[in-house]
Amino acid sequence: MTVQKESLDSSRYSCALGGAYATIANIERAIPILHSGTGCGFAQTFGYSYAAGFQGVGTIGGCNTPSTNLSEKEVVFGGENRLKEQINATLDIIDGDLFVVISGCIPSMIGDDVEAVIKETKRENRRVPLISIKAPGFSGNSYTGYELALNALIDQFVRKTKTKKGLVNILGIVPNQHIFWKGDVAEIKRILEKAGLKANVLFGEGIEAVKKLSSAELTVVLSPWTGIEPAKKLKERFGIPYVVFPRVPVGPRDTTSFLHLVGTSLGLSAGALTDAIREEEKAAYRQLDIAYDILLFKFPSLPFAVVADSSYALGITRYLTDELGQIPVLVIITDNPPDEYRDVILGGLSKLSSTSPKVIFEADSYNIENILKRENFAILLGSSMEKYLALDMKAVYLSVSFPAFDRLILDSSYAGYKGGTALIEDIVNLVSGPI
Amino acid sequence: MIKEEHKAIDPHIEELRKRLKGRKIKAVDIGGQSRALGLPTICAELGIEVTGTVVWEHDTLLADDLEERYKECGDFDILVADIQSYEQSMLLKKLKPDLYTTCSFLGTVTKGEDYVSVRHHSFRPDYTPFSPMLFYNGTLAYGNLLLRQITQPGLQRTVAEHTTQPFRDKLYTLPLPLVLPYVSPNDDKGLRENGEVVKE
Repeated sequence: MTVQKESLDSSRYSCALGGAYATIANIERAIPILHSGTGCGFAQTFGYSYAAGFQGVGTIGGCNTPSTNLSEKEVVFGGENRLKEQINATLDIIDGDLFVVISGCIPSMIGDDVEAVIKETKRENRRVPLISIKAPGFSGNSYTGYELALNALIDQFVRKTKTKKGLVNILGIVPNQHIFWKGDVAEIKRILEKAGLKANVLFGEGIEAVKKLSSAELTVVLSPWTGIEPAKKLKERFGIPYVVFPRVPVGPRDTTSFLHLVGTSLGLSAGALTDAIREEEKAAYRQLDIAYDILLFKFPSLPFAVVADSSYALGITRYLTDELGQIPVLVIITDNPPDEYRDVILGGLSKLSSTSPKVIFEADSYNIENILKRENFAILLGSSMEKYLALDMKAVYLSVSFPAFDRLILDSSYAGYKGGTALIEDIVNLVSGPI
Repeated sequence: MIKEEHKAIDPHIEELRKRLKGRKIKAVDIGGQSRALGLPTICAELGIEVTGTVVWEHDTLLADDLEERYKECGDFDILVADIQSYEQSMLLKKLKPDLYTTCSFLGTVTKGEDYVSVRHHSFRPDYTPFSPMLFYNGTLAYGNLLLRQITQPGLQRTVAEHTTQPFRDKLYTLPLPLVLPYVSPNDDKGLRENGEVVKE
């Protein structure tokens, strides 16, 4: 196991501010107000949103995001007045249901009392839905930022509500960082609804989804580590139990395991999910049956490598190995997971139908390139940073992880029953034609 | 040149033999007659026992070559027949090979739960580095292909478990509607007329 050093060449994630900003900006009618240095916000647009399969500005991203644009003056004299000014201007002209001040490195270093500014604003106008997230970039990466945002929402905005039977919170899928996040949450939601449950995936339903976090019967974390802290908070504040499914389920087998975990955790009878599972598996395996010939022709148990964050690396590696019969030789985990969660990740890659791959925790792009150069593989699923290396090594290449500058991703997804089929299509298409 | 080529590939062949050693793999091949001649040789080099090979067509001029194969590779059965998909399925159930190599346009028949199926070739141009079967590099490439699929038959297991076969169970209770026209001189274990396996 490699211990990650502090400085990185072309890291595979953004800073904590980036994670918090993307989380809030992607909750419909939630308005981020960046309290950060000039350029922090736009750097996230170029380096984080566009890098995530060209996620555009949308409604409130990019230049539309209110920002205090802190510079030398505020560093010397403090940024509280500037923040107050920006909050008032934002409330004046931007239409939203929830306003969220996200503080970056500068206010944390110069000691701005953001809470005092928030309190003062609320004293002047009690009805203002305004909260704050302290997310200095140095406090962690974008996965941490996602958790900081959720923690702030749960602490400052979510109130106790009546429990809705069958409602399940889904946490752990981080906007932008998981490049297929929109399609992933849509597929997870579809599957749970097919099984007669309801999913609160946080995104796509406005701030009502945030309010509903306290109505759930269960929280499911789809990651070995990201989202566990907010899940604990939901348990502490509202008594909602949580379970961890330590990966994005890719393909029928893992998706059925995911549904069984949800069913068991909700105390459902063994047969409650049977019809949905049978129908979905039948459809997915029917597609695999059709794809079987071309997989046998073009992908006859080929060695493959994966470069991705832990939840996607686990999901994709397990599917390609256990269901599609490919041979994993190397998995590079890029999200720098905390030490205490690394055994879970290693465990998820150790009981496969083939020999276990070499697993390396590494977020430094220079090191990743060198590690890859030492291995033999015919397929590489990674970030677009590896694209040309893979082509040089005569390997088939597909972007499945951040950054992905080489594909537009709208509702594509490799999650769930349909996601496995989509992954087969995308891999096979790389070697198809022209005649 | 031959020396040079052998120097380059022999260590790799040895490594493949080591990795396949002890597996006691019995192979059945179904394909064209060039495969009937070529595959037993590759298998013998890798230490895989060829139980039988089915040839879709047969030229009597090849008889001498086949005799040579016996000398090189040991005894194995040859069935010459324009064998149908259902007959292949029946044959495989009877022979119970560990490895089945074929043209893989046969869908169901290649999805065995009990055996590993390896495709002879791909569809249309097959220029991937792992595809050659000819000459020195081809031996290595095909040896690696066999090894990979023997050690990782995940795709076939998945489809065998989760997709349906078109044949009724009763098919496998019927005698094989096949005749064995060419039996090796020392054969005492192969197929006989009416396709019954008389001795394992």
